[in-house]
Amino acid sequence: MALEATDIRRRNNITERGDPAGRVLLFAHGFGCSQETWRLVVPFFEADYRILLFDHVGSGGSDLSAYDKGKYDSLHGYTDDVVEILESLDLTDVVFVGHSVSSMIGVLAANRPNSRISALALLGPSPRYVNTGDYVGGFDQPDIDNLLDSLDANYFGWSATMAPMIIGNPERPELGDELTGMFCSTDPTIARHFAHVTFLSDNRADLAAVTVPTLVMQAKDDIIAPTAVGEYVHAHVLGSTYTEIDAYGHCAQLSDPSEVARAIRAFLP
Amino acid sequence: MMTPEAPFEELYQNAPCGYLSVSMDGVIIRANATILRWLDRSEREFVGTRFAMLLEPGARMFYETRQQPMLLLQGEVREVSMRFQRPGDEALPVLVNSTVVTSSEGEPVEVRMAVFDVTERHQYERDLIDARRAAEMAAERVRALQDSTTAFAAASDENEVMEALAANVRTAIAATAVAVIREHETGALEILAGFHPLDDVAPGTRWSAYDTALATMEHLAIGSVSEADAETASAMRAAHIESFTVLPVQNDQGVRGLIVSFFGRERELSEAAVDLKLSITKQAMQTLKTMRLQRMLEQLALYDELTGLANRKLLDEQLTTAIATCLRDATPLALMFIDLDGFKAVNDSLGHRAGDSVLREVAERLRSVVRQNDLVGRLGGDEFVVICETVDEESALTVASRIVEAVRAPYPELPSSLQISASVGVVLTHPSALLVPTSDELLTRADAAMYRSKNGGRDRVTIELV
Repeated sequence: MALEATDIRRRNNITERGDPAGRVLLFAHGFGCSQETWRLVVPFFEADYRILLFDHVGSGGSDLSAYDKGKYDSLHGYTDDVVEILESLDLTDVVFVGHSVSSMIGVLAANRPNSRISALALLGPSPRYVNTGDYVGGFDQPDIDNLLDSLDANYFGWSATMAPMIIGNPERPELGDELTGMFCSTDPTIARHFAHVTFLSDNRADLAAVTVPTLVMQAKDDIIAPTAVGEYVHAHVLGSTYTEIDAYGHCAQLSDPSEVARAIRAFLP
Repeated sequence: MMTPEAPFEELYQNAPCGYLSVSMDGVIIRANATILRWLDRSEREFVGTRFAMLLEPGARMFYETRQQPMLLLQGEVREVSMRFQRPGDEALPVLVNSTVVTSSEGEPVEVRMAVFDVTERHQYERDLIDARRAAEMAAERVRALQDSTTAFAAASDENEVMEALAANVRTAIAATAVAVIREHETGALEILAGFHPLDDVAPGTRWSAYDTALATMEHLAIGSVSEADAETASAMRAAHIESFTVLPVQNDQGVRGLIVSFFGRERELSEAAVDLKLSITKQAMQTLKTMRLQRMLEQLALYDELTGLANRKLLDEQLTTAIATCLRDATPLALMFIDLDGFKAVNDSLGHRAGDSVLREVAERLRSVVRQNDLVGRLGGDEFVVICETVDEESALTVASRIVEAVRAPYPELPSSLQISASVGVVLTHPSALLVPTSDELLTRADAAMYRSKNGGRDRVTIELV
């Protein structure tokens, strides 16, 4: 049975900003956080774009009771949700802006038949994090186990460390306590599963199937998605645009939001 | 003599914790002597390197994907567990508090970190984590088995057991989909329950992995699209399935089946997961076995053990239902009472074993001459009953005379001196009868009609209309 738009809005904690008449920008967050990671980029587009933000089920302010381990055991389950969001809200000509693992979710969604996505803007995309044969993804299998150890080690202080700390945020007065209260908090079991799914997926074969205009944004010195990986994505998505972002690290949308916004603007007609 | 600043410098450099300043780009700009000593580095080689590169790969991933966004959004993150790499030495476990320092204009300038060596408590934490993981795994296993026990207990038929099996295996091992497949005697495979994504895109295909699994009867994993044959690989791509596993099973009746688990990514199941899948499947098979036994017991309670015909209990039930139908629909109902002629002589001269064999043969003949929906039963001894619903006088007589003829036919195992025939009494209710007799009355009157056939010279039919 198809879910109602209101159910999907609640499940994925969808928030809307900007100009309702503008072209749709759908922002998708990566592993480890929530839609909050886009909040510094959003203002650059509010004047002329319709902006939708959402949390993947299991992250941020999503409905944790919707977390079906079987469904979210692969990126295809997350992709199903993106397709449902687009269809239930009847969005067309959508620019999907994905960070990190959401880049590949965007690729999968854009490759679905009759996709409503007409452009992809990918920040720090990686189709495969684990080195495989000649392919250099940046990590080896033991590193992934090491990450899971790191997640568990931080689980001790999880609730205290990662507790909501956005108080009286003047930039987002329209957001209720409900959303900020869920800011970036994560169920440790789900975080571990999402880490597995993120870092052990292999979407290299899906790149060649992309037909929509695609922007690959590569920050300098991103150790999660190194430059060689960004170049790999660029080489395998035919006709893609490659832009090096003048930013360091994996979360350029937080460290240098204006750079990221500039790159997206330059890419969009 | 120390300058007044010296104690502060000294406090900073040799504090009991490490101090680091890192640029907003993640490059180390300052470090105190304590942390340099811990990591056995000189200030010159330390300053200018990227902070993330000090960390073990897993901690680095956590730092980039979790700690950095938190820090940039919140301005402060406390007590993050990290591990520093030390060349030629074990990693140094630390807890780190980080704060973003802003300029007077509110612009972020740098990140200051206080680093605490937690080597002492690290092993203890490690042990706790290991213990917790083991406990979580055990608890998950118990929960999965309890859930499936509950689901199987609630199932009311075999289909529901199969659906519960598919659903519970799917949850237990976090599979995208699970299908339960049965092998028929012909070798054909039928999907009994769950969802089969490959069949969804290519219905009716016989996947080669299934034959492999049935040939070896061992757990089989197709770990990636490239491991599958061309036909399977193409369906996997179309269905967004990147790996699957096949668990062949066999019940105590020799019936074989397959539990197939599909995954949307390349996955290897741990031994524990395969074991859990097998345990749930065994529970399901045990449930099915219990259901079969129950059905057998029900059979035993309603059917005559010797002939397999309906017994008195079932006859009573059916007759009561038939009378009610007869009243409601005003359709006539016939009850036939059959007593064998010459049966006592068989028993007396050839023994009970021969008698039983004749009774079984008679039962078979009765079954073959009545109409499809008529019910044949044995009251006991050599007395049989047939219930015919929705019948007129002519067809009731036809059935009755077919019975007489069939019973009269020779029995190969009997000497020619011993002959068997049937005396039949039939009562037929009139469709417009206002008062339909009770089942006891009907039986009594059919019995009486049968006696008239006996007294009239046996091997014949007497019909009475009521």
